[in-house]
Amino acid sequence: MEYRFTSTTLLMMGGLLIWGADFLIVYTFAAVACARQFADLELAGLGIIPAVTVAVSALALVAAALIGRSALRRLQARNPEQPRRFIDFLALAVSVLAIIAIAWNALPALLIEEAC
Amino acid sequence: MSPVEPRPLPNKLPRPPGELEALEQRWQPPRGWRILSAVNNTYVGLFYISAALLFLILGGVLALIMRTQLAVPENTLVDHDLYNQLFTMHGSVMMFLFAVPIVEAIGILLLPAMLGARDLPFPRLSAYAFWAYFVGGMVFFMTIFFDVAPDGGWFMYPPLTSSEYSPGLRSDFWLLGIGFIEISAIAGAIEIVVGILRTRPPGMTLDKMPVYVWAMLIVGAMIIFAFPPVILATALLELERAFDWPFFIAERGGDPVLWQHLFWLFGHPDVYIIFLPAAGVVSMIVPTMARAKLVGYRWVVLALAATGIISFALWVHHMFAIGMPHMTASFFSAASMAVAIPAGIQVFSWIATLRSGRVQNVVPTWFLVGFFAIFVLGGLTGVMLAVVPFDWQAHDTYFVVAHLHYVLIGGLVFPVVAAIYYWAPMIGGERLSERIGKWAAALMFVGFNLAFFPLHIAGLLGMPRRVWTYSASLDWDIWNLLSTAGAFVLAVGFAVVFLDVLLHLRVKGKINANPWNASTLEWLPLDNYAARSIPRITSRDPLWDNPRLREEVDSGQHYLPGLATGERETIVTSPIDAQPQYLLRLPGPSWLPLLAGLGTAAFFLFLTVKMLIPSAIGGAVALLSFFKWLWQSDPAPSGRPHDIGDGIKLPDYMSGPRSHAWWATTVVLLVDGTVFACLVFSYCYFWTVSPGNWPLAPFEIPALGATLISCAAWAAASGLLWLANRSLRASRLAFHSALLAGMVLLSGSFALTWEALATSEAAPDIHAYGAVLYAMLAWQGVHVLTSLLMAGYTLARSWAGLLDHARRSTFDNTRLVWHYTVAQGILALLVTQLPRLAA
Amino acid sequence: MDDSRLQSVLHPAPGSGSALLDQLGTVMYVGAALIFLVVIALVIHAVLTSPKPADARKWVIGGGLVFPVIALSALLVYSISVGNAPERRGSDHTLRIRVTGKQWWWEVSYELPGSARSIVLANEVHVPIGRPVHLELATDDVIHSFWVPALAGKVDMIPGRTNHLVLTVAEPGIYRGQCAEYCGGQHAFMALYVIAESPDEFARWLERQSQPASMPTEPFLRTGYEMFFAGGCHDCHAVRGTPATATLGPDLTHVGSRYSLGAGMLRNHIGTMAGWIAGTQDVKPGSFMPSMNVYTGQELRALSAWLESLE
Repeated sequence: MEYRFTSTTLLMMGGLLIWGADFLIVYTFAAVACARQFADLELAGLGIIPAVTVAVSALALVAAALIGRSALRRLQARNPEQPRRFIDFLALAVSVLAIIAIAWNALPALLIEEAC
Repeated sequence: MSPVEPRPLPNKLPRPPGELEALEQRWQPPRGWRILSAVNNTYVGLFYISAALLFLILGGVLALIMRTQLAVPENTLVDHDLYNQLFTMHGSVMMFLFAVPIVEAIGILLLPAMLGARDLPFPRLSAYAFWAYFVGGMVFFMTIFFDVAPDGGWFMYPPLTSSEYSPGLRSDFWLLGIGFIEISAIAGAIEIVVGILRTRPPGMTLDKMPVYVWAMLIVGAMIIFAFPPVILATALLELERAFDWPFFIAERGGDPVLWQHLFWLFGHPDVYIIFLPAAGVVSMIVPTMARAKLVGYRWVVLALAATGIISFALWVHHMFAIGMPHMTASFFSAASMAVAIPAGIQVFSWIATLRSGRVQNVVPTWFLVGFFAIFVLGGLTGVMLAVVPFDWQAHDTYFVVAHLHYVLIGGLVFPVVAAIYYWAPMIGGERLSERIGKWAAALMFVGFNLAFFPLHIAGLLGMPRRVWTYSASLDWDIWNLLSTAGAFVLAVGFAVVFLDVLLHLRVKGKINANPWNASTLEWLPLDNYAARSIPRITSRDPLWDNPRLREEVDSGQHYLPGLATGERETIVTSPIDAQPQYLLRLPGPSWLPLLAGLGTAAFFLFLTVKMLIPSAIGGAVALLSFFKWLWQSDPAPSGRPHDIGDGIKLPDYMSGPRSHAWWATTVVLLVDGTVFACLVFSYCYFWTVSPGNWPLAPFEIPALGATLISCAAWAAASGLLWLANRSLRASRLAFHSALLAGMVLLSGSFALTWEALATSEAAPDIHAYGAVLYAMLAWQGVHVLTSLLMAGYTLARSWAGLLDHARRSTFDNTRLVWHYTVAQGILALLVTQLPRLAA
Repeated sequence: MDDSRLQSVLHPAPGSGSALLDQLGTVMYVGAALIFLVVIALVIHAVLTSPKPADARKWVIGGGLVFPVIALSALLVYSISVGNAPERRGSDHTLRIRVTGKQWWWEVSYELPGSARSIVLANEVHVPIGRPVHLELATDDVIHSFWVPALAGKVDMIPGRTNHLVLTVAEPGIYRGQCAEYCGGQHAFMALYVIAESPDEFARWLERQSQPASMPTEPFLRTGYEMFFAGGCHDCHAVRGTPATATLGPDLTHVGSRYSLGAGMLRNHIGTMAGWIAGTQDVKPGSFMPSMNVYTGQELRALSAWLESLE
């Protein structure tokens, strides 16, 4: 079996790459909203920053969970071959870590009332 | 062990007569003073480590002068002006000339041995990077003796460092010194990443790589993405200082905070670029000392990788006091907490490993225990500093000074000294002194804690950083006096280590030593060609799992026991599962890297002091050396396969996406792409902080028509290269014509793009808008020039008969750079049009 | 001067923002010390005792993953709530003071109540106790950072921006602050004092400071006044009510009333004033004021006496 380098790397690090995208979007949105003065807008009863943060974080959580779940399934299928198992283990563990980090990243937007 | 039929070894005994002698002869290092022309990793690695340690001593002397000055309040040993140069140089030397180089240097020395490779894939590049770094670094350091050393702090915040507040050469010397380290870091990243991914021994799949190798792989990848922000930042500051392009001047649309973003976007990952290799070292030494396998190997790899990624989202925690909203700051606080988890995972893996074995009472263990205590405390204060409201108090005080020294000396220097003691037998065959080493460990541990623990308290009592002295009335005396005393004890500890090394380390050629009974490949019998044969790997701890491996390898029973191509060579394997793919022929000793390094250093140094003619001579020497050296590379394929054992027959040439050259070029382009991304970020940043419309009147968005025409021209230039590629096999004439036409069109595209930007009515030296537009143009210009040089070189190779449809790596590299240049040009043009969407 | 504890994170003014931060600090010092001791005990135990098989799951997941996640989650929530305290936000109803960082001193300007006029002072911030005071923080040259540890965390002063800090001080007292962002040459000696006083005292102080300097009548002081102009001091300094209106250096209209000289370097009295004028470059080398050693002893005493009379 031939391993493709780029896709293997993306799979192994997938969870945290999703976290990275989530982080970047949430931070950039909040920073731009403050700098360009549209942070007072509201969306679905929430301030626009918390609303966007919650939405983006929820998406990111689902994506990280999906990567983790597919890796877990492959691991449970007891495919004995290395480095396949190792790659799947990393994909799973990285997603778990990513889920924690994504959740933490959403906290400030939920706990801090004043956005700017 | 599962009852599997033992596979026969790759090669049979007895080996043919003369095989070993031929190998030895080919890999013979140059003798006497000619050793300076050595390019293979054992020598370059040792030069590199020695130079980095020299800078550690020099930076340490600066620190001792500072500590003496601060020992008592209102001291006048040095004045404010010298002190400001001292702390700037201390930080810059330690971070840029010691910390980053030492981790790369250790990697260059150790990696091939750990990978069973004969050398790194680009030996001359390492040698060049070393010489540029060493000469450049020495001259940079000398500025302190001529009162022209930088005095803006190692972080160089503008506007303090801009020409208005720092006229003269001091800041320029800083920018110059950093330039050298940028060159050597990128070169190191290429070596490390390509070396680890492509020159592993057959069978060493990802899950069997030693943890140190994992750490270095991640560090290599981090350098690719972390150095570009500082490369860009230094370029922008130099453009501002030299040509008045106002990137950081607030009155003219610039923003000094942009520098802080770019600097810390580099600066924070940099901390982990320094720490992760040390963590990797610890993960190698702990199992050996405990005589037990690392507990939770997979978790440790996870921790390294996670640290590498998360470290890119921490940069703003150096900027919590800039007045940013609490919420945005807190995002970085959350990420800083997340990065603490991987550190915890590693610490507990090490503890569990120590627990599961009987620990050897030897010097490396002593340094490791010291490392644990110091690093854990530094980590805990790091979590405190990540807490936004606490940082509002502690930021820029001696609390931070204490924290960062706990992390850097605890996290880097203690493991490095442990590494010196641990790997000394790999270099010299003998352990260093147990007695002296334990004295050193005790002195360094006590000295360090005495030097730095009191500074936490001084900081909390209100002592800010970077003060040349302080008033007696503030009650900081006792903490400073203790700290100074500790600094001298620590210095004695260092001196004892160096004494031990000078007394007991003698570099030898052939080494057959495994005194700690370690499990990894660098403890195979080694010579200048590394191991006699390249082992087939079936486990993570090969020397433990196969006690006969050292003997098998040394008698030549594994892969490639002699010279297959007749030249220096190593096996290239696939990146994930380490299947042998081809033989990479390696260059031998050469003066060209040394010449090119000296030329590069001379070019930049003389340019800084505005001596244009010597500078031009230096540049010419560098360029000529590059071309001479390149001309010798890309050797012709022999066309016949080479047997390396196990019935595996490998070609001695590879082009396209499988070749090491392709990978190296890709690494460079990732660096360039990241620089470009940072430029786009800068553009968007100016836009965001601009108070009114963007672009501000009277400036315009570049005209749409001219922009689209330029885009089309760029695309056509790529098309011509595609045509050249198609015709390479069929017709030499068509190939040359398409390439030449492409060169003309590429230059034309650049001219058109310049024209298009001119329609914005913005000049680079009026407002940040114009400055950033022209910075993009300049960056594109660098790439056009590079593409043209490469295309011209390709043509020359082809005319000289050194390039055809099989021997085509030179052209492949040109293609990659060319298409990248075109893509970047089009993207840059599209970015200039973004404000149309917002309008 | 005895400044011990006037500039300390560990000795916050009661009721100030720093008091809250001090609490957060204490929680973290204690927590960190406990974790440190446990980890080191584990290391020593692991090194010294005979080998026992270590379960990766228990150690690495339990110690390295589960414990940090719990501890850090708690810390994150707690610290965000502390940071929510209103120090960095302004409100329109508070007293506004603008502090501008300069190499290497502080310009302080007050909006006068009930008028659009503001007055410019230096190196000393007076605040009334018991009500929020809004500081607008800016710079005239490079980046500085406003930091009075006993009252609040630091906020940078950055070219092109105005940052904000709200101070609330509960009890009268004097606090020292110092520039926390490296700003070149004499960064070490860029200090200021915050003097918190009762609302009445504060109002009286502000009223006094808003008055112009009165012309000296006594001949000795008159000589000092003349020396001020003869030496060219008015090229850089302003004294309201006289022809001196330059703004390069600190406004001296009420310099005699200040606690310190040279941005926190010397306690202010006639002796230090004379020493400062004649030996600026010895006291604070590199500062932008030249040593004014052109005066005779008598002239210098007169000049110092006049300046000290400006209360």
